[in-house]
Amino acid sequence: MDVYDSIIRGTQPNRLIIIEDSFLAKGQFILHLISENRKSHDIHVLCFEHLVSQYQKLFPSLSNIHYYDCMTNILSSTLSMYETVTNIIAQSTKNVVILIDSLSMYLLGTDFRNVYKEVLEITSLEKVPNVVQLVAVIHEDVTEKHYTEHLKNICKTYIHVQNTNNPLVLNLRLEHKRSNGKCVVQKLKGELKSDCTFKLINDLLPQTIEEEKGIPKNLASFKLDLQENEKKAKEELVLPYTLVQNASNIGGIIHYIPDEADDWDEEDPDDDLEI
Amino acid sequence: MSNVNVLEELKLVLKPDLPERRMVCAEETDTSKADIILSFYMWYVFNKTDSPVCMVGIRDTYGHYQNVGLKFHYNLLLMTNKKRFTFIESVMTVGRLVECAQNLLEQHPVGNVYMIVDDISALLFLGEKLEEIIGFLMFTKRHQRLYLVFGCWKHKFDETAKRLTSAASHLADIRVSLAPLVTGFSNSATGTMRITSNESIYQIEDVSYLYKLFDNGLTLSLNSKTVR
Repeated sequence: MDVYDSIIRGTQPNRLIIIEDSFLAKGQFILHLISENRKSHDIHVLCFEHLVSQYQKLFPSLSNIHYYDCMTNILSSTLSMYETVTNIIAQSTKNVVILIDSLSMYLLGTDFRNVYKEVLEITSLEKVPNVVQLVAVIHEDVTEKHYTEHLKNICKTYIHVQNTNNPLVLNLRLEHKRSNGKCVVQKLKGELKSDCTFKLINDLLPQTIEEEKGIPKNLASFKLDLQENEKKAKEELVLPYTLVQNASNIGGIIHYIPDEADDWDEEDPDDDLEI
Repeated sequence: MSNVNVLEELKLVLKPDLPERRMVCAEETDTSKADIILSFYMWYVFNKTDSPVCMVGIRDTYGHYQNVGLKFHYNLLLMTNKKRFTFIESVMTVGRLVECAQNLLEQHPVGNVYMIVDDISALLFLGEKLEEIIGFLMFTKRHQRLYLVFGCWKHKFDETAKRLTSAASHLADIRVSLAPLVTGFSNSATGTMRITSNESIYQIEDVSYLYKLFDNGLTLSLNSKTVR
């Protein structure tokens, strides 16, 4: 499973994505890529770190992207993140994607427990069904590690952006929780290009997707997992009822020879039905 | 290389004339000091612009910066007499910093104004909270005419000071990171100066110099450069 591709394209439901980055390995480009691939949604960017005008230059110029100034104002109070989102929902008719840059700045001025609660409420299907996705950037050099771990625990996908010797080349480590409970890890390397793309570098061994939390072994006297040959046999098995649904496999035909006493009618008896 | 030549070279990299580089963070590590960067910006403002400068000395005194300034070809006393320079001492709270910024903007209602703070991390040790210091930085970001250049000390054992420096780096438009040599002392270099700026997500400038401080000046030699 290509986790990276499914996250960027939004091919699978994913209510919370956390991107952990640092000063020399910024994760904003992932927000940029996600916003390019959500054209059927309303995208709302909560700007905690820079002026709205700066974000308007960072993101693509699309009519479905809206910006909100959420920077702390030392001279007056500002709305909480949840209040901002509920105001957004009240005015939005489409499904909504919320991008937050960065949650670390919001965490500096707000108690973590309140932020944790707000994130849970925003990603709650019952409370805010319109919000289909929340993507938040956290800076590992600003936010305390245990806070990031708590947020990582409730997210569906966690992306760690790591720097290399070249500031334009970044390593990504993606951890994605599948709906069946398994966790998939994918490691990638890519280069930020001037045409606003992130080109994956192919000289690495192709993805190292590993299933970290598989079926536990040696727990029962009978075998719970499948070996490779068993998985292959399972995939190749064709169940008998599937043959019937395949029109090209019809093997039988009925030949009817009417008797002399039969009133053979060439007309279709169901002809008068308006089907 | 004379000091002026060095400053002209720095000007090509730091690009202080760009409106997108209004907030400059000079990060100090260990024994390195941001004075050379603060002095560069004062040299630039006094020699290349007509803008006023308000300097807040939390850590060092007026006399110290006057001595440094004479080596970098500007005279703070002269600038004070010309009403282009103000030095404020005894600022110990974020509230006072905000007041200084507001006064500077009110006294000069037209054109760009420069505020230089020698060490904002010192406010942490004076009892101010991290989020309030960040609040001051966000306050300055909201004012398009206000250019802020500040030093911030990244203490290796103080996690709060480290977090403040990192947060300030994220907020700043350009960061100059000064550090001593990892391998120890050298006759040819005092330390490294790494200049990082993000024009946009896909445009990053990362230039590293070795710098040497003398009694009368400064020399730079290019270490590495990545520009996209």
